Amino acid sequence: MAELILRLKATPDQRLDLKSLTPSRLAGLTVPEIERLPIATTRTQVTVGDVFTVSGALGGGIRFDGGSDRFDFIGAELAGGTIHVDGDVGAYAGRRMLAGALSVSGNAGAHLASAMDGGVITIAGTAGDCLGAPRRGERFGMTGGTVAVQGSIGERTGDRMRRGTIITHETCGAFAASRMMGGTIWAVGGFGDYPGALMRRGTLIAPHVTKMLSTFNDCGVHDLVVLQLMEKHFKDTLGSLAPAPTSGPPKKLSGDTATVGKGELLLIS
Amino acid sequence: MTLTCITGGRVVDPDTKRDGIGDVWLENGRIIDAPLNAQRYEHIDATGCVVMAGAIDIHTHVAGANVSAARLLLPERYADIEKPMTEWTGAPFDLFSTGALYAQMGFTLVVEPAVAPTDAVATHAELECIPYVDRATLSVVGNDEILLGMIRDRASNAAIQDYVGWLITTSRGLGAKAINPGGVAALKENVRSFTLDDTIPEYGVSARQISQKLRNALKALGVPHPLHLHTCNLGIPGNIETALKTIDAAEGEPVHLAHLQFYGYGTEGDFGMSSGAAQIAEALAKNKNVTADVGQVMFGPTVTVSSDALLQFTSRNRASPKKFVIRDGDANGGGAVPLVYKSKSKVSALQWAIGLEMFLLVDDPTQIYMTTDHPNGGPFTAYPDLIAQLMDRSVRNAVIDSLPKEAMEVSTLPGISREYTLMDIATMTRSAPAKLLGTMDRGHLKPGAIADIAIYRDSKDRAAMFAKAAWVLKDGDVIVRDGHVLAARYGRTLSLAPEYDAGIKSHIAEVYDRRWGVGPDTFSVPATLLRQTSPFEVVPCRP
Amino acid sequence: MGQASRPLNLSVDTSAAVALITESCNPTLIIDAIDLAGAAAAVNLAKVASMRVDHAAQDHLAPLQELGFLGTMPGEAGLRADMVLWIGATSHFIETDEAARRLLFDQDNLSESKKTPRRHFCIAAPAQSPSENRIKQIPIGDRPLLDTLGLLRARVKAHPTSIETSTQDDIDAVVAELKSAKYGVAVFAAGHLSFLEQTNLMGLIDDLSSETRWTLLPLDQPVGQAELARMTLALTGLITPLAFLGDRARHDAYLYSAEQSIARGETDLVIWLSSSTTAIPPRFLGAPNTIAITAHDTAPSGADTHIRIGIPGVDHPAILEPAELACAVAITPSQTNSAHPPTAADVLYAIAEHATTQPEVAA
Ligand SMILES: [Zn+2]
Repeated sequence: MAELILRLKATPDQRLDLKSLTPSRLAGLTVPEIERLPIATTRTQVTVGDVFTVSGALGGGIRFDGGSDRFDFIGAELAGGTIHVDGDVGAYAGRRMLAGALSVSGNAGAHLASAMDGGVITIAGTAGDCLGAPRRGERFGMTGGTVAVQGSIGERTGDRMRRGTIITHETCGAFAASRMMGGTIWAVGGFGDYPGALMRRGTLIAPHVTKMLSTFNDCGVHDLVVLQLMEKHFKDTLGSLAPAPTSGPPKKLSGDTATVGKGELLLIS
Repeated sequence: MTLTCITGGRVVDPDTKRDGIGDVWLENGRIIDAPLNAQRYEHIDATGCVVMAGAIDIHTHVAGANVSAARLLLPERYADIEKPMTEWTGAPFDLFSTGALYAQMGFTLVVEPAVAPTDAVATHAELECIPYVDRATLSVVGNDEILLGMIRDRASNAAIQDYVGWLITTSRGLGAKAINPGGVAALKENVRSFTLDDTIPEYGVSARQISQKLRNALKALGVPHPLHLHTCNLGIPGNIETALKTIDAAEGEPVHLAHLQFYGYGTEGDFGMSSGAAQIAEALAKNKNVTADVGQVMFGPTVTVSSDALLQFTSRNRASPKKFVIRDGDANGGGAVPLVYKSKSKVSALQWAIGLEMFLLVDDPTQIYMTTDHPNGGPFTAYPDLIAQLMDRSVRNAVIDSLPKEAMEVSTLPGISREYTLMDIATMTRSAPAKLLGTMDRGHLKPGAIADIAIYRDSKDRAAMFAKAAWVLKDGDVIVRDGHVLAARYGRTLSLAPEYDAGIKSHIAEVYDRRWGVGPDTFSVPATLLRQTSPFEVVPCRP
Repeated sequence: MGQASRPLNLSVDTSAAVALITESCNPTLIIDAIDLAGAAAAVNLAKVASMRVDHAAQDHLAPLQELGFLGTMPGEAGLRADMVLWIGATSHFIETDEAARRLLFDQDNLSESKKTPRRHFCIAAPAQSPSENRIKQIPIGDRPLLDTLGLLRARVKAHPTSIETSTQDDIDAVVAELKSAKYGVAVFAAGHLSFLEQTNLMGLIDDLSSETRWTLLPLDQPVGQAELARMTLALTGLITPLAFLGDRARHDAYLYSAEQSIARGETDLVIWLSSSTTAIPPRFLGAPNTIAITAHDTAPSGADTHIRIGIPGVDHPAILEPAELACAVAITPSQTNSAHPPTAADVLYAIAEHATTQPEVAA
């Protein structure tokens, strides 16, 4: 399949707003037209052509040859097709993404999958704070889609999350699932301090948690079959990025009873 | 400023009963008689246009602490939006956009109707930043410790008059407004519903008494604008009773009822809400002392901004999105509660219909005024659509057809055939509000009037016609051309200087010292605020 | 924004500042103490010169953007509170904050019927709690504040918790006291509470308000914040941190944070604006160039260029929001400074005159 290739010329000297570089937004544009798109975030004007060597043709996919932690809003509102970044990305990658696939070979910055609604994001490295969280004042964080991160992820993951799935193969930082309203966060390497603060609904899965709030209550043992169905679903959609199968039935805690308390934390073995 | 003549337009001027093609002459910022033999003058060719005085919005929440709170509360309504800030997203416009948007529609004076005296300095500073249009404020009184204490302690009418005079003067208002008088004070004692003859715990004073005392004080002071009253029980089905009792309680004396649509609710029908517009219209026809603005509901997201802290407190759980600012103030306080008027909602649809019924059933356009209680019923930028709905029955019927049948079945609106004329519109938005505010050199095109003029390209599409004026002149200067504002120009803030006995200050000083440890002039608005020139212009009181 | 009528006969030289701003790729204006006119002028400058703007204590207002506020004013609290809940680290300002002192020491109730002694409780780690014996400590052990607030909320609604029965009984006793307040006021310092702690606190107040009146009173507010927020909200619809890109302002707490963009090496020029003599905090130093617009006689440490301005309300009349009143008041100094330092607004409008990249855009 044809791909549009954007080769990074040199490390950018300012943060770049790359939300215009998605297949649907670039559809119908010639390479010179793409090169003229503004991407600056300061008084110094910068266009796509200043930062990237553009080649190839848009056939539903975009490949960034080289990344940077100053690449913001990559894949924002992505509505289909694929974006691959060979390198790092900055803040708000996959912001309000609707469908398609975003893959990053390096690390992702803060606010990855901000208010994401659909599609799949895979990160080979780590991801920053506020993964899947809303932007300031918004009602919901993630409302759908899947984010799989090989490395660890930061604090406040899944804030105000409503639907969708976040998986890390390492640890998930403190205050995960704050104000969560639904969806699933699976931390293969365990959760940090106080996950689920003000959580209303939703599911957290991990082998262990460093510290728990007193407003989560022991509810005994959970049904293993539900978990196995989820595992199969992840295996089908994520392949090798799916978490390894669990062995025994998980222990279940529910909270946060400071609010309605219908969230659950499944401690797997 | 040069001599100018606007020629060839259809001049619609209720004060002179003028409605026909003619010229309007102006010079040095004022309308003048046609000169006998003018040689050199500027010429505005208004052929095919309608020429009216600049419009006046008597009730629009554009500045102050509650508007600030609404902005703070709703950053997401500005985020990720590449649209200009002049498009309504449900959060208050910034001040520059506010002035520009009003000017484009032909408005030249807007009244911020709810300024808490303790917030007056900041509010006037904000108002000074609204370009193009002139501004005025109403000073909030009626839940403040001093007034309630005076009524409780049976202070003389003269003393109350002096206090109200002092309050309007130091907060530089163009009048006074009472917002759920007594109800907000009662909330501080955990009272959660309050009606006309309930009394405030600790004071034993009722809303009826407060309004009567204020009415008398304003009359004695010669304040042109009558008491601007946001009465109790706003928004509650069955409050038509409160509205009718409030009209009775005026005892034939002038009173202005704010956003009356929100009080036109009966309890009949399948969903426990019905229209009381016909009863309101009947009561207004019998009580010519009463004026009202409608507070029309228009569909879409908005945020309610009100100093009725009791209302905001009790409606906080209906907020959409679910967040709110509620603040107990040193008198009224207030709050911001976001919500969405959905055209699919029976309640919202009926609210819209009740507002239009009031416009159409009240025969006298000097008694009923166009407002959306911006932003409480919707943004002021909905006025062109509202005008179209009033002037064109087919526009109205198209909306009716899109609304839930259950709501339209309990409304008389589908059967009302009245259409507003251009003269009705000019009366309701120009000549009547100017008189109601006591700004006698506005709202008309007689020689001597301020040359605030709106020129609209005549069109069957009334919404398009009134959305973007062809020209707007402010003090004789062109500020809008072809629907676009020209370079920013800053106007004046109208205020009053009623006479009162300054001896009242010793009582005020005592209360202020006890409460804040500060002197009585602490919250007074100085003559200059952000700039080195004063924005204020004094409107005379009645002799 | 209304600079038209402002005379520009300044006695100070702004040319060095104008040159640095004109050269800069990403100038960032950081504001500390400011009066209302200065704040309006700062927004104007940032707009016409496409700058970033932040307050020196950014993010204190974040919870208000997310969940709003059930609040009161210092005067109202002093008049009505029959119960005060001191939250978090309050000991440092209980001595200095005027509104706090009035709540603690004045028994200024509204009427005879309320002449019951005002009750005080505090929730704080023992090390942070005030050593004032009228304030009763709520027994929380070494539990973090977030957890304690959550426990109180859970027990207000009689929800289960995982704490042992005897501790839960203690918590229930406190909840019963809180519910017995007629007008309860929870006081806190936003700068000392995390976002989630403030969220749980607001939730607790809202939960309690279903039956009684409870409300919040923020104390120890950062200097200049109220004045700046008021003007940025009025003039742009948003609060700091702001970026003026093109013809409109944008707000993003992560991307435009002055502190973080300095740390990330994205800011080439800092303009530190404070109408006081506070030193520039180290977290705002480190950009290649720093302009200080302050009330210092000589350049403060870390500044490459300095413009002296007057202290509002002391050297010139000004509108300020004193924390103990929580509303803006006009302050006229009793005597004028014979050195006549210019106001912040004078200096900022003069700079804007020469550093404009964006004309005042008609809507
Ligand atoms: Zn109103």
